[in-house]
Amino acid sequence: MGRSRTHLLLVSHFNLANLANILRAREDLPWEVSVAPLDQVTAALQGHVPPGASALVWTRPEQVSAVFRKAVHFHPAETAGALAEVDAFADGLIAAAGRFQALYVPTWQYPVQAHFGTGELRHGPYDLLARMDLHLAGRVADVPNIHRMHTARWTHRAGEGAWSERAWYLTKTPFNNAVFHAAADDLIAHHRRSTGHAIKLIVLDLDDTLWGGIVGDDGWENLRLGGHDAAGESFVDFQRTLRGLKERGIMLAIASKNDAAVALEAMDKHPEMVLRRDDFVAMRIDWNDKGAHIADMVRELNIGAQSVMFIDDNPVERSRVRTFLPEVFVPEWPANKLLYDRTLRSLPVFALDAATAEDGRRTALYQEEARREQARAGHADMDGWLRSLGMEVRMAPLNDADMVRVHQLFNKTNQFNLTTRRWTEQELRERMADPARPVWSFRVSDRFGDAGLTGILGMDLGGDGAVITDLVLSCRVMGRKVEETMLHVAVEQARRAGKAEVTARLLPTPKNGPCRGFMERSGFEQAGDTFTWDTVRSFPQPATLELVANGSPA
Amino acid sequence: MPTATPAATEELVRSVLERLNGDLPAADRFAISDDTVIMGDAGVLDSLGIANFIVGLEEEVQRAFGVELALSDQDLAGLFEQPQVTVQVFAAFVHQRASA
Repeated sequence: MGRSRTHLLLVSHFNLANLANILRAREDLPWEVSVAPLDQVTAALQGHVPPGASALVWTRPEQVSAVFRKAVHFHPAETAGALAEVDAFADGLIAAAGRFQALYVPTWQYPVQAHFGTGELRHGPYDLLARMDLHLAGRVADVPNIHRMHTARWTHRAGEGAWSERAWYLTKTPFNNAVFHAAADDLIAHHRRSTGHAIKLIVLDLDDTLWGGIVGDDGWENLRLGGHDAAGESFVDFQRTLRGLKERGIMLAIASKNDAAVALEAMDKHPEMVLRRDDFVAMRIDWNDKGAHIADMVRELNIGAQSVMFIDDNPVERSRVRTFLPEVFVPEWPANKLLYDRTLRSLPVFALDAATAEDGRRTALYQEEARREQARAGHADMDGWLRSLGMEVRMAPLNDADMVRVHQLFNKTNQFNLTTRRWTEQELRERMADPARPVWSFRVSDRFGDAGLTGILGMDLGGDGAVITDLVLSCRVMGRKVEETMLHVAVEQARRAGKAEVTARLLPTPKNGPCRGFMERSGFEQAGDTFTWDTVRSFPQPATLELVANGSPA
Repeated sequence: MPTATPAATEELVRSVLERLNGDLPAADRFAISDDTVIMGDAGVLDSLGIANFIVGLEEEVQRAFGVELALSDQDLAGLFEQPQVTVQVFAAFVHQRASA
């Protein structure tokens, strides 16, 4: 079911009409786009903002700072004065951030062709611009919905003609359209990443992908990996980047056509391997079809195929996976091994903006889940298995310490999500201060490990009845009666508030079928997409786990 | 470097228009033929489109033929006096300027 698009306002000192057209031409555009009047940056940020709107605020340093403007015309630069002007600009941005869903702020640039003499890097405009940019970065670093965008990436991609004097003097557009295409790609990719469409799993081939050479033919001792060898060093760098991604919560897996014992020996014994067995959530090393293996992993890990990326040096394997699993992202991969690391880094598909403790532990969490599933085989009935886990669910009102994770969970979770409503941190902070619209977080742990903060319940207790505004659960704990526990809490909260009924209105999306299925089985009375519980009765608390509220059993 | 023949110039004009077209939302795109009216009454380009077209054309003429073509308002004034400037008419004008 389609959902209404939110709004993106383009705010700039220069003409962004071409960018607006390029964005509107994109079929995957998540926004309605409008352009603020040229050069009206402050007024646009202070003016009317449609609900849920975001803004691109793409300014020229010459117009943010009179000191910088003088500096490019060969006047001495007063750094302190320029930084004070940046402070004023930052104040405006920070004030506006509370009113917009997101502010995208491209870094400042000045054409590199400009020559200011030998002192240009020590006292000239480039030095000043670097200080201004860094100062702005520091000022907005703690504002979670201000996203700095990397302009140099766009001008680099556009090449030599990125800056266009012709376009500037004719239309007040400093860049050619190639820059705007690159900007559009990054804006849309950023939005997709922050709304649950980021890559969560990278499936990797081994031979000539993770290391150089064919381990079955060459032996692990002769693989090109590290050492005084250009390709060997590049494979190590590639593995380091992958491990960095893993530590930020991106899972890694192997799908390789190889003899498993031989490949694993290389992984265990090669001294230059950065990645070891424990770094992977799944390994399929045999001679079977990689597409089928990836489909298995998607099922096992309970993630969407659109969250998976497949990297293989072999174009035949890439083509096969693209055909078999069209939703899986299969980037073109360079034949030149020295470009592997750069290619991986250039893909705008990872959500790395704010890592949480859960991100760092994600691989371990899925490995714990695999052990949990193994234990399940020994139990004939579901409740017996759940009791054997010794589960504890700890609930707490939304608080500062949990804010980043709660915000992330709201914005990443698609399958078990009642409304798929995305909240800004600012909006969540407003709810923290509003006792009529409480939000609780739920942490789940058992004898196998700690799944962390994996559930959110939001309610509106201000009306005649109680309304469940948000019911969000990470797929990693679905089906363990945490969802029933959350409904139990919702009904108890409604009873305490003297409400006669609790209502949950499901907003269907193409992905939240699991949430609908649960609500339909929950015992709540269903009328279309609306589910109601009469608070004369308690909603039963599952006996297979212990619910703890504020340190004591609830 | 290729010579700015009439046919090559017309091809270049069309390619610049096609690139502009590709950067427009689907609803705003226009059909391109020899008779497409670029500017003037019922022209397919608005004022920003005309400016983008001139910028793109100057860059492409320089890249393709090595000719620096700086079209001023006066240069274009004669063209604008015509009620309709088609692809063919504009290509002939550019060919004349690039060959001068």
